Amino acid sequence: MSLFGAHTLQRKLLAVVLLTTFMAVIFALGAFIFYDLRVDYRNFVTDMSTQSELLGHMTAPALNFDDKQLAIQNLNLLKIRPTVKAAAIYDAKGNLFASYQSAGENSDFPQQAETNSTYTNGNGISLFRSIVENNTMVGSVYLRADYELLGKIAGYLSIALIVMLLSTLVAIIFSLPLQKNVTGPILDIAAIAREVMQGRDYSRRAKKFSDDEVGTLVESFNNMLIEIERRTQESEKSNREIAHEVQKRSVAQQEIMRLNQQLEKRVQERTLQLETTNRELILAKASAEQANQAKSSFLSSMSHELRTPLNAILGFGQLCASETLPVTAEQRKEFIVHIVAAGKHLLLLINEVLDLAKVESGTIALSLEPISVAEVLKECETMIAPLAEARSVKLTFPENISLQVMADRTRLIQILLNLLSNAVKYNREGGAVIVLCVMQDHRKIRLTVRDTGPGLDERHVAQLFQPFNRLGQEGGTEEGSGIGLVVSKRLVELMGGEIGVTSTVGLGSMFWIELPSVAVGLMTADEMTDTANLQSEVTAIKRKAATILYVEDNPANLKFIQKLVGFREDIDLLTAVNANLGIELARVHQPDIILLDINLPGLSGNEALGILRRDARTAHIPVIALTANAMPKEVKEGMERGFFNYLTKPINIDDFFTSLDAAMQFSREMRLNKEFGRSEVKEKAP
Amino acid sequence: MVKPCVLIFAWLLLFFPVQPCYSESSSTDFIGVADFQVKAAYLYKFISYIEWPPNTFPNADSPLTIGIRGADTMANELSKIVATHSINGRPVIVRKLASADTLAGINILFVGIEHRETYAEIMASAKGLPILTVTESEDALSRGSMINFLMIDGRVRFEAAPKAAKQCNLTISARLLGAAYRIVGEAS
Repeated sequence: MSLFGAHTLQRKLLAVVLLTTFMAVIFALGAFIFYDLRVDYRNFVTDMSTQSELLGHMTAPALNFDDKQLAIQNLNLLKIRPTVKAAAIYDAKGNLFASYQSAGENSDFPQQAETNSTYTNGNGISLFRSIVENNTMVGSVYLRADYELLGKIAGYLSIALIVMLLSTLVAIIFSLPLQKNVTGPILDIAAIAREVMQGRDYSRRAKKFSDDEVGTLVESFNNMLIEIERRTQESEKSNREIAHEVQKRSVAQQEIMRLNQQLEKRVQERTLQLETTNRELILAKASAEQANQAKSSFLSSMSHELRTPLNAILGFGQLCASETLPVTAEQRKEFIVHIVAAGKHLLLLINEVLDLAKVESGTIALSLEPISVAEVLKECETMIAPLAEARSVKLTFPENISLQVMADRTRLIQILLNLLSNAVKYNREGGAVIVLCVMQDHRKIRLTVRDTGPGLDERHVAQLFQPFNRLGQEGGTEEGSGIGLVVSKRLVELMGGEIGVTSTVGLGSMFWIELPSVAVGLMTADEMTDTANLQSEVTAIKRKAATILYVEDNPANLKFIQKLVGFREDIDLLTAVNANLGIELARVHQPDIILLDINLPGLSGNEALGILRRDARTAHIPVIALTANAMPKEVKEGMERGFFNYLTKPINIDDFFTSLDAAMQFSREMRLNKEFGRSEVKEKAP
Repeated sequence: MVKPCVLIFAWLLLFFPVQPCYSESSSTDFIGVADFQVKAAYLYKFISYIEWPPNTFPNADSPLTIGIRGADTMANELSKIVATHSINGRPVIVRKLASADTLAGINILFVGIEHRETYAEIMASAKGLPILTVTESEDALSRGSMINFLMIDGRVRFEAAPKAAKQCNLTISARLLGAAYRIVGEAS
C-alpha cells in the first residue's frame, strides 16, 4: 500500500517495472529449476539403475561361485561414488549375501530381496535390480543413494538471486530514461497545477512534449485552465456586482431607516394631531348634543307654531260651516279672510321649516347667477311696501344702483324680505327702515337693513340665529316662525356670503349681508327686449280657445282645478281619474294641454308621459306636471323627463295661469308647424 | 542319534529350497554332503565364462558336451542339472568317460580325484584340443589342468590357469578369474 500510495509516480513506475521483472525472472527461473531438477532426478535414477546393473553384472560370478569376499570387494568399489550410501547383494533365494555402507552411514538393510523396484524416501532413492545371467536370476542388487535436493535447490536459488539482482539492476538502468519520457510531462503538469493552486495564477500553461495520451492530457489540462480562468474572471465580475449591489442595498437600507425615523416623527405628529382632533371631537360631540337638544326644543316649538294657525283655520272653518249659529254673510266673509290669512301663515311656516330642513341637510339647490341689486331691491320694496304702510313705517331704498351680485335670485329676495319684514315688524310706530347698498373693497357688496326698533342686548344677539328664537316676542302679537333668520344665515353662507348684526338697545338694529360682486353690464339690452315681447305675446293668446286634459285621482284637487279653470271662459276642461284613461282621452280628443299628476294609481305620471311622448298622436302636446313632489331634485328630473312645466302643490294660482298660457302659446305654435310639415316638428320635439 | 537327524535334514534341504544357514557349525556339517553338488553346479556355471574357439560348435544349438572321468556322484548330479538347463539355448550333455574313450566331441573334461595319478596322461591327451580341463586335486594345475577345485575353510573354491587355457585356444573370462581363489601362471 505504501509502495503505491505515498510514493511518487516515478517510484510507482519503477515499482511496476521491478515487479514485472521480478515476476518474469521468478517464473522463468522457477520453471527452469523445476525442469532441471526433474531431468536431474531422472538422470540420477537412471544413473543409479545403471550403477546397480553394472554392480549386478560384476557381482554375478561372486554369487555364482558363492564368493562373499569378491562380492564385498565389488561393493567396496562404490566408495568412489559418495552419493551411494549403502548397497547390498542378495542371492537367488533373496537372502542377504553381501553389504556395503558408506562412511558414517549406519542403517539396516531389507531382510529379503525384492524384484526390480525403485523407491523414493526422503532425500534419496533405494532400488532393487535382479542379477540375471544366462537367463537365470542369480541374485539381486540393492542400492540406496542420497539425492542432494536441498543442496541443488540452494545452488539454484543462489543463481536465481544473482540473476534477479542483475535483472533488477538492468531494469532500473533501462527504466530511468523511459521514466523520464513518460513521467516527465506528467510531473511537469503536476508542478504547473501546484503552482496554479498556490499562486492562483490561471494564466500558466503546461508544455506539450508529445502527441500521445500525455499530450492529450496536457491539452485537456490547458483547456481546463482556460475554462477556470474564464470562470474565475466571471466569478470576480459577479462578486464585484454583488458588492456593488450590497453597497446599493446598504444605502437603500440607510434611506429606509431615515424614512422610518421620519415616519416615526410623522406618527408622533399625527398622534398629537389625533389627540387634538379627539379633543375637538369631544367638543364637537358636546356641541352636537347641544344641537340635538336645540332640535328637540325646536320640534316642540314648531309643533306649537304650526298648531296656532291651524286652530284659527279649524275654528273659523267650523264657524263658517255651522248652520246652527246665527252667522251673517259678512261675518262669514270675515271668518274666511281669517282662514285664508291663517292658511297663508301656515304655508309660510311649512315652507320655512322645509327650507331650514333642506339647508340643514345640504340638499338645497342654488343656482348662482349675476343679479342686479337694483332690480331685487325694487321687487322687495314692492312686496314689503304694503306691510310698512300698514305699520306706518317709512321705507328708504337706495337710488341709482348699478351693482350686481353673484347669488340665487329667489333666495336673495327671500333673505332680503325676511330682514325687511323683521325690520318693519319689530319697529316702533312711525319708525323708519333704511336700506343701504355699499361696495366693499371691489369684491363684495354689503346690503344693510337698519331699523329704529327697540334694539337687542348682547345676550339676544348671541341667540339671534337660533331657530324659533323670537327674542321675547313669543307671547307677542307679531306672527313669525322664528326661523327666518336661521334660514337666511344658512343661505347667505351657501352663496359664499356673510350675515351679521349690530344693535344698540333703544336705538335699533342694523342687519347686513355681504355677497360676492359681479362686474356691471352683464345683462344686455336685447334680453330685456325679448322678455318684454314674450310677455306681450302671452297676453295676446289669452283670448284663444283651448282644451285642457287634467289627469288626477284626488277628487278635492280635481274639484279645485275645475273651479279654477272655470274662471277662464276660453278653456274647456277634460278630466281623467287615472293615467290609462287620460292617455285614451288624449289620443281621442287631442287636447291643447295636459295637466298630469305624478302619483297616480297604477300607471304613474312619469310613465304616462313616456307613453304620450312615444305616441305620434300625442307627442306634440305640452304636458304640465301638477304634483305635491316639490323637491327641487324631483322638479329637475321632471323637467329633464320632458314636462313642459312642473308645478308644485299647493298651487300658486298666478303661476298656474302663467304656465297655462305659455303652454297654450307653445301648443298653438306646434299646431301651426304641424300644418307646414312634420319634419320640423320632429326636430323641435324633445 | 545325532547323525540320522542331520541326514534327514539334509535330504529335506535337497528337495525343499529353504533359506540356507550361514552359521559356522551348520556349514561344517554340510561339507561332506554338498561338495559334489557344489562342484557340479560350479562346473555347469563355468560354461558361461569360457569362450571356445569359433569353430567348436557347428550350430547355435549344437550341444555342449561335458565329459566326466570318475566322480560318478558328481556326474549324476550334473546330469540332473543339465537335464533341465541349457546355456543360451545350447543343450548341455554329460558323458561319463572311460579311460579308453576318445576325447573327440568333448568340450569340458572333468577328471575326478580318483584319477589323480593319471592326470598328466589325461591332460596330455587333451593337450592342443579346445577342451576345458577341470580337476579336484591340490597340484592339478601344475600337471596341465586349467581349473582346479579346492577346499578352502571347508568351502569349495577353485583356482585357474588362464595361460594353460590360452594354449588350447580357450579364454577364461576375467569375471570368472575375479572369483577364483588363485590364478596360476599368470605371472610367468
